[in-house]
Amino acid sequence: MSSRNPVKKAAYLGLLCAAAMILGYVESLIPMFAGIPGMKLGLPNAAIVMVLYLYSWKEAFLVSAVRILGIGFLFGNVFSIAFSSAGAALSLLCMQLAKRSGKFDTVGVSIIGGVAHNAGQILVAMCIVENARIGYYFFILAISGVVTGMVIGIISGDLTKRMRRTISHE
Amino acid sequence: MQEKKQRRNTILLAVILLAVCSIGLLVQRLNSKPVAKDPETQDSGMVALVSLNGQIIRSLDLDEDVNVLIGDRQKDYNVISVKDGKVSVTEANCADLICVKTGQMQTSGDIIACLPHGLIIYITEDLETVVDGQDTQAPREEEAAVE
Repeated sequence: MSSRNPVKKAAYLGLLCAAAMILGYVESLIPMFAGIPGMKLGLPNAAIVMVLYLYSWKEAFLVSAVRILGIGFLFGNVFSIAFSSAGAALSLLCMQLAKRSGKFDTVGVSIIGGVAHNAGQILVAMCIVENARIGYYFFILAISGVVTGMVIGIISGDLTKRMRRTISHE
Repeated sequence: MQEKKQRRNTILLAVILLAVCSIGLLVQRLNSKPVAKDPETQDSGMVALVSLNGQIIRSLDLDEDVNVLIGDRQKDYNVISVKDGKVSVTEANCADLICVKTGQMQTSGDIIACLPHGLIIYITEDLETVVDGQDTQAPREEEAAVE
C-alpha cells in the first residue's frame, strides 16, 4: 500500500500537504455566499481524504496540522487557526471512524468530513461569541457540506485509486 | 459486494442529511416573522438585540432609525444601522467583514454575526429578554438618528 521508503513517503506527504495549502488558497479566492461565516468549498479536504486513504489517520493528522499552522502563521491570525483546527479535528475524527466502520465509500467519508468540519467550526464560534444563536447557520452550512463533500469525494476517490498504483510501485 | 453496500449507505446518508437540514431550515423559516408595523399603533413591537461576548448590551427599537457604534474606533468596532425596520452592519474593522457582507435583516430569528469581535445581532419580538440600562464595558458613542 504505502511506500516503504521513508524518504519517498516524506516527499509524497509534503506534496499532498502543499496541495492542501494551495487548495486552501484557491478556495479563499472563490466567493461563496459572502454573508455566511464558514461557507466554503472544502477543497483542502480533497488532499486530506487522499492522505487518509493512501496512508492512515496519523499521516492525515500530520498533514492537516502542518497545513493549518503553515497557512495560519503566514496569512492568518489566531482566529483562523482556531476555527480551522476545530473543523479539521472533528472532521478527521469522524472521517476515520466512518472509514474504519467500513460502512461508507470514499464519497460517504468525504461527506461526513465536510459536515463535521462545519459542525466543528460552529461549535468553536459558539464558544468565541458565547452565544448559541450562531447555530442558526448550521443547517445551511450542513447542506453545503453534503454537496461539496460529494463532489470532493468523487474527485479524490478517483485520484486516490490512481496514486495508489504509483506509490506502491516504488 | 461490499462496495455496493458502501455506495448505498453513502446515498442514504446524503439523502437523510439533506432531508433533515431542509426540514430544519423550513422550521426556522416558519418560526420567523418579518418586521412590520402594526397599522393601528405604527409599532412593530420588535427589537434588535445586540450581544457582545454573550452579554446583551443594547436593544434597538426597530421603529426608530439610528446608527450605533459598538466598541472603540481605536480598537475593535462595528457600526450597526437601523433603517426602515431593517438592521445591518454598515462599517467594521474586523478582518473578514462578513458582518457587513451579510447585508440587511428584517426577520425575527435571523442573525448577523461578527465572530472576530464576538458580536451577534438578532431580531426578536420577545421583549422579556430585553435588559434595560445594562452597562457596557466598551466605550460607545451614539450617532444621531438618520434623516
